[in-house]
Parts: sequence; C-alpha cells; structure tokens
Amino acid sequence: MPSELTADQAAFCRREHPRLVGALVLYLGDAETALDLAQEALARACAAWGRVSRMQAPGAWLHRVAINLAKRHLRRGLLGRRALERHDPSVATWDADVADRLAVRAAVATLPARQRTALVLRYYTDLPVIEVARIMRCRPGTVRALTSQALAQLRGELLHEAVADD
Amino acid sequence: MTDDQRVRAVLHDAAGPGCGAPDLAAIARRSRRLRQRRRTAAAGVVASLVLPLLAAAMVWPALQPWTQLGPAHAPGEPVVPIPDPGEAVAAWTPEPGGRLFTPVLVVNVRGEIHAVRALSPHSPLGEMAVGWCRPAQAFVVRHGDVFAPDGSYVDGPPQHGLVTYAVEPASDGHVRIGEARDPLPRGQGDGARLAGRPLALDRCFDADELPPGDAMVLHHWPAEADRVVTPEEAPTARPGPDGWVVFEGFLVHGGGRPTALCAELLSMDPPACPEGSPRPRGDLARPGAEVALVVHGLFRGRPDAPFVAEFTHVATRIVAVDGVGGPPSG
Repeated sequence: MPSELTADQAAFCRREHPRLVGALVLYLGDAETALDLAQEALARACAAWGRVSRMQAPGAWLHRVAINLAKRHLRRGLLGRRALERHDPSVATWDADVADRLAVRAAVATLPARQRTALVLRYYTDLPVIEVARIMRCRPGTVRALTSQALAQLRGELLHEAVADD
Repeated sequence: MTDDQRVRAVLHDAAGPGCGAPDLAAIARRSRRLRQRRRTAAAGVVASLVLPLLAAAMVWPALQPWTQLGPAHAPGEPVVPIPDPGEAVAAWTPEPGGRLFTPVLVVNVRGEIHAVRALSPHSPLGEMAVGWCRPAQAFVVRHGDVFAPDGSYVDGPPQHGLVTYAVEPASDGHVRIGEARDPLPRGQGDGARLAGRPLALDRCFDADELPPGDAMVLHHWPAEADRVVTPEEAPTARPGPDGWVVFEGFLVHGGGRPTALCAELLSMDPPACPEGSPRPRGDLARPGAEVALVVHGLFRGRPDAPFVAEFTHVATRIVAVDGVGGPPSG
C-alpha cells in the first residue's frame, strides 16, 4: 500500500522516529504507548507539513508535540494503571538487563513532569539547552536547574549503582 | 567517560533497543484523517458564525410590524416589482398635470396584487399617510383608520375606502400601475368581510413598536425623510422629485385664529405661532373651532409661495388642546 507521504515527509519520519520513540518510552515508561504517540506526532507533522517544513528546527517542534501528547495521555490516567500492571512482580520476563531497563524507566517515570521533560529532551534526545528551553517555554537556566535536580534524584535511586558497577 | 555521557548511555539503554522503521502507511492515514478533521472543524466554525447571522437576517424583518420599503420607485414610474407574499412596495404615480405625484402602496396578499393611494380620505386636518401593517395584513392610519388589502373600508371614521389603481401584469415579475378608480363606500369589498373580525392591529398601533420618530410613514417613504425642513422654510424649499416638501413642526388650528404652521410656538396659552408663520390654504386657513388644537408632526406640502398649500399629514401627534398640554420635549 502506498504511504501517500512525499519523499521529504517519509525521510523526516524515518530520521525522527527512533529518537522520538525512545524519548517517549523514557517519558512514559511504556513502549506500546510511545510508539502510538510517536506515530500521532509524526502524522500531525505531515498534516501541517507546509508549515513544519519551513521551520528552522522541525525536530524540536515534533518533540514538543510528542511531549504534549504524552502529558495529555498521562493526565488521562490510563498509563498509570497500565504501568502498575506492567511492574507487577508476577510478570515472568525478569532477566537482569530487562530489570535494569525497567528500573531506569520507572525511576524516570517518578520524576516530576518538568524534570522528566528536561532530562529526556536534553540527555536522550540530545537537544541543545536553548532548544529545550524553547520547547518547555522557560529560560535555559531553568532547564539546567531542572536537569540537575532530575539527575540528583535519579542518582539517588539508581544511577549510583550503575556508576558503581563501572 | 564523562558523567553526562554516562547519563546519556543509561537513558539510551533504558529507552530500549529501538523500534524498527516507522509505519509510513499508518502515519499517512492518520495525517489524512487529521486534515479532514481540521477542514470539518473549520467549516463548523464558519457555519457557527455565519448561520446565526443568516437566520437573524431572515427572521428579523418578519418580526417587524412595518414593512421597510426602501426608497420608492422613481416618481412617475408606473412599473414596480411584485412584492413578496404579505409584503408591500412603494411607488409614485403622476397626478393630473404631471407636476406632482401621489404615493401608492402595492401589496401582494395570497397572490392577489392591489395598489392603493397611500393617503387616507379622513382627517379633520387634511389627509393622513397610510402604512401597511404586516401582522394585520391591512392598511392602517395612526388615527385608527383600517382598510382591507383591496383598499375597502374596515374601521375608523372615513366614509369610504382608499382610492385604488388598476394593476396589470408586466414582464419579469413586475406590475404596471394603471388608472385610478373611485374608492368603495363603507360596507363593500373585502373590508365588509373583515369588519368586526379580530385583526392583529395591536403591534401597528402600539407606540413601542413604531419606528423611531413616531413616523411610520417615514418608514414607508424614507426618501422623504432625507429632506425635512421647517414650516417657515417649506414655502420656498426646493421640492423633491415627487413635487412635495416634507416639513416638521407645529400646526395650530382653532381658537378663533387663523391656522398656522411653525417650528417653535410663540406661546401655549393661547396656543400661537409667531406672526408671519406660513398658513395653509383651503378650509384650514379659516379660523377654526373655538377650541385650539396643537398638532406636532411631519407634513407634506406643495410649496406654493408664500403659503404652504394643500398639505398632508405624514405623521402627527396632538400635543395640546385649548392650551392644555405642551409641546413634546426634545
């Protein structure tokens, strides 16, 4: 079935999709929802392609849309219930790597929303501080403070162990 | 490895091994749905703004008791468009000699087209202009005269109906106003059938419902409102294309004095206009009854210097009788 996307749109989707899904997985702690919201954000970018393609940083716009979608999703409370089910100890798939991965996701998921946004956009998506500040509609100094607080909290919970293992 | 690099590595690891290629077909489908939804929403917003305005524009005229006719057709133009059902249009027909014109109302009631002279035969002080009352589907005069759509008498002091005109079909939804016909006496025509029946006249005689200025005729003949002068200016004013001058002021009649017209009263007791004020000709020029009557209103007159001859009330209100009462404020 033809995608009905232009070559530019398809290239944009292929380029942004992995980073977008990863950021949403970290933000939400749920890969399935992350994939769905990434698809929705990309669809919005394609629907408004005339405007998006002229932007200086269409990737940053895409992440802002995706984070907003994720926030709305979290507000609806569905994810909370599903996350509880997912972290149920009775779930069988429990090897060490998966356990670490889920622990980091869970720790990120416990961060306050703004700290989580700053951390994911800056350290996972690798957006410059100034771009993160624009997405979060705050000053760069605030982004630095938020990421610093987020890291402190994460270190307290698990990064300490990861660093110690090195 | 720096601390920042460690954080990045841990987060990338936590985000998972990757998710494969994006489903471009699904993204395209969602994108198409979004665009459709956006178009629908935009159409909805436009419709929600425009439809109420359209509905109001359609309903509002029907709620008004008086038909806003707009400027009458050119004087002497005997061909006018057929009015919408229940509505009226204004026209002017030439009087014998062709110098002056008479206002005519053409109405469409249940597909029958009637044309009447829009001046009532009754008034102790001259002719009164006739209006078309939509709720009653009848011609009315502020003093209480009521006529059926065919011009025949229904109610009020007049002894006969309105002068009517023959109406002949013309091309393209128009009618031609033909010869004048004598009015029917009381008890004949559709008026005899309507007499005594309840007609929705309330709104047309309710002062609150009247157009501003207490002048339903100005509502019917707005062209006249463009050139209202004072009685003192009337004798020398340049007449309109219909040959008449419209003026606003006081008519002082009776009290053993000659009838006079003026913009400002000299006194109320006894009611009097300043010396040299214009006087109408004819019966009204003679000293009237002992009781003095002061009428404030709009009048149409033939400018026949130095007097205003043969004038017609357009819209009037009796403001004082024998000095009791006073001119309207403002």
